[in-house]
Amino acid sequence: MIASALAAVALVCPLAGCAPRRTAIAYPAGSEGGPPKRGGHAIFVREEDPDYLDPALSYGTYSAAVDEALFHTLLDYDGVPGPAGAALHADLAVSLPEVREGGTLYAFRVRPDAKFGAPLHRHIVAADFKYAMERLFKVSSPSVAFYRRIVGAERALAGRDSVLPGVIARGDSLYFRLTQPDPTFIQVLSMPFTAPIAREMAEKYPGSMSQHTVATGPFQVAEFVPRRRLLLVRNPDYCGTPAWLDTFELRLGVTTTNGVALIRRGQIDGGFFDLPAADFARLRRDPYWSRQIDVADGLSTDYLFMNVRKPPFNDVRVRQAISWAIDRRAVLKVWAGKGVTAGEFVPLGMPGARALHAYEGPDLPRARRLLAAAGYPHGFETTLYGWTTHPGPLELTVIQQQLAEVGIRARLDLGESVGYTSMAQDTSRHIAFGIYQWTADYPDPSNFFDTLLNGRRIAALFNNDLSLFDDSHVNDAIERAMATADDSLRARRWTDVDRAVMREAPIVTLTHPYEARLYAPRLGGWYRHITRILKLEDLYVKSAPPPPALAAARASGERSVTPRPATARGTAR
Amino acid sequence: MSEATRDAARRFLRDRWAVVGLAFLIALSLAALAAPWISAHVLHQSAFQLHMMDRVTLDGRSVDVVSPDGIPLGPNAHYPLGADLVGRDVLSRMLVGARLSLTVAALGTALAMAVGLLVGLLAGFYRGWADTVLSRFVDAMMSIPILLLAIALASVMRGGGVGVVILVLGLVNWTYLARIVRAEVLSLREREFVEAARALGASDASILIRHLVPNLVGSLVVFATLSLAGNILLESALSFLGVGIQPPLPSWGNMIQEGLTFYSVAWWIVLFPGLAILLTVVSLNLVGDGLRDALCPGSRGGSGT
Repeated sequence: MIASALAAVALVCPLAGCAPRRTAIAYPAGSEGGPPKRGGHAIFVREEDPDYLDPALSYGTYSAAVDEALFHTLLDYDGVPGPAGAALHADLAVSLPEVREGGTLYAFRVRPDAKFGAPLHRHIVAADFKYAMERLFKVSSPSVAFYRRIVGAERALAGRDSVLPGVIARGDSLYFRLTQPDPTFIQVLSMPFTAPIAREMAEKYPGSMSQHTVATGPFQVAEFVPRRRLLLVRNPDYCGTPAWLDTFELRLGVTTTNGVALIRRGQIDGGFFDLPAADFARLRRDPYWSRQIDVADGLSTDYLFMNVRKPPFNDVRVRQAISWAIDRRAVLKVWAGKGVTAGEFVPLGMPGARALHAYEGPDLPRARRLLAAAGYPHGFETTLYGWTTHPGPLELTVIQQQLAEVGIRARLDLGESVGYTSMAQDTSRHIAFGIYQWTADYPDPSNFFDTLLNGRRIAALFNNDLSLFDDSHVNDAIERAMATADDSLRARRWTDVDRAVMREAPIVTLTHPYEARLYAPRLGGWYRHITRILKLEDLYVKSAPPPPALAAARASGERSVTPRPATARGTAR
Repeated sequence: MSEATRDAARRFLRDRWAVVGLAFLIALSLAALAAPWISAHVLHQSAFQLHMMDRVTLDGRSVDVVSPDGIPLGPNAHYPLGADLVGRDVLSRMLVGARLSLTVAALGTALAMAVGLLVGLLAGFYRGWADTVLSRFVDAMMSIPILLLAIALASVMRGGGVGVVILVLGLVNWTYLARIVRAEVLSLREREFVEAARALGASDASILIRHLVPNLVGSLVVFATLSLAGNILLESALSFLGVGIQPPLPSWGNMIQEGLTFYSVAWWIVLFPGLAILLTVVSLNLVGDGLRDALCPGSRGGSGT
């Protein structure tokens, strides 16, 4: 595996392209800023390995940044911060799709210069996209529910068919036929799940595609040593705008605490982690480092779910009482103030989202009145489930105390986060009351309402409607909003759905937490894209004064280490 | 008081470090016993009441107990050892945590002693197949890392509260005592007084309870003190890992766990419970060493010349 990776390095590295292994980053002298220049090597860290380097299987939040740099597909989001980043442009397609037949047929043409990277270097054809789509269902990709409106998808989901008649490939022409119109289809189509897959590789290496990646994006894998490092190099076969950096190195197994220290000492450029609350509180007061923190709305909602089919939560007054009992400003302090209180389900950074300010309180007398009306004048006992990942225990402790103020005696049951999540998603476990957090996969409210509260999507396993909320009016309203093409009407319909959800209160929205990340001053091009944590192809190295710790080390005579160009192992292709 | 007991007490009191350790443990136990009254009346607030949105007056200024970016107040006139991340008094929680940590560790030790004593007595006294089966079982148990076993047990019995933690501590610690007791019983059962008891027609139960157990008291006491220290650490580790005492109940371990990520800006949350664990464990070890020297003078390690 490593041998083949090294061979790949030899094949894909231009003579001066690859950076050596363990070096610190360089702070070359020069005037600060300036336009981006091509070249350079950036080093990031991450504690865990990427979950997969296979576009069909990878669904980890931080793995996404790597996968999105390796596996580009027909469309991509514009590389700008904020809501403007929700606009799509053609990537491996010639243009945005032609939508026909009342919104049920999407027609694309694949770019004639679209190519797979090493080791194939061959033209990408429409059949590669069709194969990738059908493979999603074969390998039980976590994404399949997004594509259930493609003709034949329901049969494939049920395991009754292995081909998708709704995906039609003819040469460079690609068509997607849907069972009903879906304006969000263009967005789910832009996710890396739909990136083309070379059938010859997938059939040669079934089950180990993560070790045999074939890139379609601006970077490709030069080396992957699990638990050590992942080295990406610019993909010369990519037909879109090339990456600024020559190489991007992700060092694995580095804790968040060490990552922050390494950035501050000028030894790395950044990390795939949310800046810990303590570091955030400290560095935001630091005149030098406060400029290097990127705080952005990550399109997340942190909420409590209540099983609406089990007493006492089957009474809407109980659910509303809990909503009124929570002091969301106190909960936000647990998040180090990063974020805003949530009086609505859809994060406010989402296009079309509207602040509803529901249950702005706390209003304890009102909560007690509602509980009394529901037959619980002295409250009740329950178990509140959650995770041990920070700030889970603190947040739940605060909520536990607030519920106690209205007589609800909640015992906490906290577990490790992956185990807790799978337990909550298993309907047979009947968790009645717990905490959850959802971050948008794509910038549309359907990713919240349809995925998390549409009762028609309740499944026995991997169920995301944790409240088991199944209100036919809300389900209809969700599907009506999803089928609405007009943006302003659609936004109004989503607001109506949000109001209905707040009224029925199957969930208690707490906060919309923001993300904070720290980057080295010499790194340019970082920003929180609306759906991407980081677009690696937009990163570049710039001239900047070194961090104080590195400058002090240099002044005291410590020898700095500068990246050297690697010796090429073979000839550039 | 017998002459032997007086000799043991004299030997113990001559060990100054053991006496210092004992004094610390007595003071700590008294403070822990009085925690509900001290916390309610002497200190700022109870250990459980949250003050996320509270403000206090310091140096004529009204300040948040927990700042908007989540940083609590450090040691000050209102909070002698500072506030924690949700605005609770660290000193109050430490005292309540002492009650819990010491009680859990003591009951866990008692359970381990009961199981270890029973298994050791049976294996040593009956020998033969009973000894083989029990000893191999003890070996198998000892081959599993204690922390791993404890985490597995605590995870399986998750949600059982403090009782589960006590059970876990008891179930993972009895093996050491079982080995010690078995070895001693193998030697004692050959002694003349046991032969005499048997000749007089004493039953096995009578020999075990009336003749063997009293001769094991020294080892049991030493084991208890040392095991207590180990159990405090183990309970702290379990709570630190999230499978021990569940919030909002404070234990020294989960206090450290809660404050760990904030140690650089709110060091007091981690430092004081950490010091409490350190001093208590050191004191228990000092007392254990003193008792061992006092009760079993021949057991002191060294060159043995």
